[in-house]
Amino acid sequence: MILRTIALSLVIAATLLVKNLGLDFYRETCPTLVLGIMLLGSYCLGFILEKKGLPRIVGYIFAGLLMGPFFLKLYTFAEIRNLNFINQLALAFIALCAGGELRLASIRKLLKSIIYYMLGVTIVVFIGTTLAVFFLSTFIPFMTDLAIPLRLAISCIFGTIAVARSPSSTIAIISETKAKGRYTDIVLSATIATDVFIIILFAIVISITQAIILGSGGIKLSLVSSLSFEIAAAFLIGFLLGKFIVFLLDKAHVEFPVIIIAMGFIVIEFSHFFGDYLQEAHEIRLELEPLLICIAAGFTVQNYSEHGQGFLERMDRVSMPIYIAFFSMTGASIDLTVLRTGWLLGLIVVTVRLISLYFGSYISGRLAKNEPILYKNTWMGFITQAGVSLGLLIEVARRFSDLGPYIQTILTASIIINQVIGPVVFKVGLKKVGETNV
Amino acid sequence: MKLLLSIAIIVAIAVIGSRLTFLNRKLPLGFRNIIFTGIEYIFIGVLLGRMGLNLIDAKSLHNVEPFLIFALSWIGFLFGLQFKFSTIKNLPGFFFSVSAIQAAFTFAITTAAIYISFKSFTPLPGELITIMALTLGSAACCTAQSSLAVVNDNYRFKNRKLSSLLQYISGIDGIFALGFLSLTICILPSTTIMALNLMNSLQWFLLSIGIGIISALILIILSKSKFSQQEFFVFIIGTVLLVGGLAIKTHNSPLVTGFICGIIVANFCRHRLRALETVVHSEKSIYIILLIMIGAGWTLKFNYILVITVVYFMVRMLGKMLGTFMATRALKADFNIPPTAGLGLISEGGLAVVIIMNFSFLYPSLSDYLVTIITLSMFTNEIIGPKLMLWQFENPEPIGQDRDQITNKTRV
Repeated sequence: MILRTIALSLVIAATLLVKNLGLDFYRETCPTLVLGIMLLGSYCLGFILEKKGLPRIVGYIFAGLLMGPFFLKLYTFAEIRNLNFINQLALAFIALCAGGELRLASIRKLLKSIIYYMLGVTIVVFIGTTLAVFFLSTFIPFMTDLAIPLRLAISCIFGTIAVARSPSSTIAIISETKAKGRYTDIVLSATIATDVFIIILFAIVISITQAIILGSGGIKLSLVSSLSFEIAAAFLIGFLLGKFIVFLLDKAHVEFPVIIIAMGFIVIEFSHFFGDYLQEAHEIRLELEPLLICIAAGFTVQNYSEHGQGFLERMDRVSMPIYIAFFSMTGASIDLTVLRTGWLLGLIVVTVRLISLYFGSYISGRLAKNEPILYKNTWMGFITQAGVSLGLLIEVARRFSDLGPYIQTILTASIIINQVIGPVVFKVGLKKVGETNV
Repeated sequence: MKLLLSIAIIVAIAVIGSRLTFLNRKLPLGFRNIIFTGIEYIFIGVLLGRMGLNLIDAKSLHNVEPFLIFALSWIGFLFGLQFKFSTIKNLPGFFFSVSAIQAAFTFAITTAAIYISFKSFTPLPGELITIMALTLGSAACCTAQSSLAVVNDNYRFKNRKLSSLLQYISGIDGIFALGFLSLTICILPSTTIMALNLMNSLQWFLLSIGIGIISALILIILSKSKFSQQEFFVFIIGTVLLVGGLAIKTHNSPLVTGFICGIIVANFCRHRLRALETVVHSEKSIYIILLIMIGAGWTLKFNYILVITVVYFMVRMLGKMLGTFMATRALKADFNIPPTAGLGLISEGGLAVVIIMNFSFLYPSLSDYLVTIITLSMFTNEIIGPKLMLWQFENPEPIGQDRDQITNKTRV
């Protein structure tokens, strides 16, 4: 641990020296340096925190934050934005891994549980958070003067975002702890299924809220149908991509990780094209598809070829730098001014969400006739929130220019809190059920 | 859109190419050598770049700069890793001296000839011409092992010692090239202050050494305790990114600082061989991507630069031949070395391209001149290289069809 601390200090000292001694001649940002700092610095902090019993990804997130614009200032927000393409690539890679982890045989065995958890937790968390925000709305400054239907509609938005989870964090923790078992399979499958389901729920809620705000009376469900179509198309493309990966593995002996990364880029590009179409046709900008396409592709390789296990092993060999870069960037992108403004309300939303998650999981598990150790601990795997939730929030802020930024501030604060506590609690959950293998 | 598509195409071509290009083919020796060294990727780059489809445009090239910086420091690091003092000390002194003398001679006469040529043809300031001449001089030292490999694969000859000498020189003179390049940038490190300035040179020297040492130190410290292969991969990538990033931030050369970092790791890290194995594994793909990028960014102008290219080609050939001749005669070899043995060292290889790419980062406005010279001369060198190599050996015996088939079967 001392050696890692020395290495971390050296990384920071070298960068600070270059920046503060007037040696920084380069006129633009330098993404190469930022990535280098992130990989080495975050690895060291992740390792140190792991020794203290915390998941590594919490270390990566903290390192990203610590070395970022609010503390050590080793890089700026502009430099982080410049690394967006690396971020997208990493997300595609993680989604491929997530899909690869879904084994049809396990899903078939757990199908009842997965459906109960997906629906049960969604319903309880949605209703719980919506009601809590609705009853607290008289104390929330921007909601006090609003009419009751509008307050309810905005509370529904809070409820919807609270349902969203983070497959990337879930898969990273599973990969770090080498977890295997029923609990792991249920959490991962339910998280991915919920992330698909949430998009439809979001489209319905947003259509209703827009109708209430505009006072048009009628609810346009074209958004719901187009999103449903988009999800179906994403799965189809993902299936085809998965088949192509299988073809490459069978016929072309190419460098596997690099080809996978190249495909990630192609998927992202295709999704952007799809996104542009959706924005033009329905004025909605969501970038869900790369995630879905890659999950479906990974799922296809795992379940419709003989390469499932080999595929995961090969992905695993190069996964560490990708996880480090991705979660460091997540940490570096945390805007602490938002947390400063919305932390109290954010904390209330987090508390309500945690309680709802506990009861939702408990009820769902009992209905699915799971063992007590499962239904008492499943909620611990559902706390993490990240990309999809933030993406939905951006859409909320864009659609409701008056109220959107307030909602965004409070919920971003709650997502930041969930981002940090989620992995810690999930690791505890995995240990409690005895499914970790490190 | 273009950025992502470009990267996807480049990566896909590079990966598939890294598998295909190093296979033996039924082609004339020169073309086999071209494919062996991957030169055709420059022309694929030309096709995708501004002279072709413009799929990889100037903006895309700018956006993939982080990768290029990474690639340069990766290659510098790789060369440095091979520079282990104890191993070099144990190598035959005669071979080392011949390598050093031919490299120094080639560097000197190429630099002088290029300086005079640019001075005669262009109105560029003397300092800029100096830096271009010194950079081309450094690139001229490089020798690829590809010609010898292609010839060795197809012919059997009696003079094995000559073959060993040529193999040794082509294996080691990249280090002299990087040494000369370091010296060049140290003397003229800045684009703004072009006159000789001792303080400026000293600052550059200390910074390069400092960046190399600190980055290497981080890798050495991290690898002191127990780690997995995945973690070691992170250490290597992180160190190479850090060294390249710090170099470019301080207007230093990622190639040189990566080289320094590699030398320190080679001599002070217990896991040198593991590092070498990790770095070599990705070398081919990185090298091919660099070739594509250089082709994509290249603009060929039909003017005096073509004359300077011919001068470079001729003088380099002369330098290699005379340098080797003088060294072998002065040091008295105990085996037969033909007077033209240096012509067997004409194949130029990828390091020359990497040196020019490194120059492009530090002096972007001048890069087209050097890219044209290197690309055209390299193409010619790789075509004629195997024939000139073969010419150095008496009575070479072609290896039969059976052997070729066996070799191919073994490879599969």
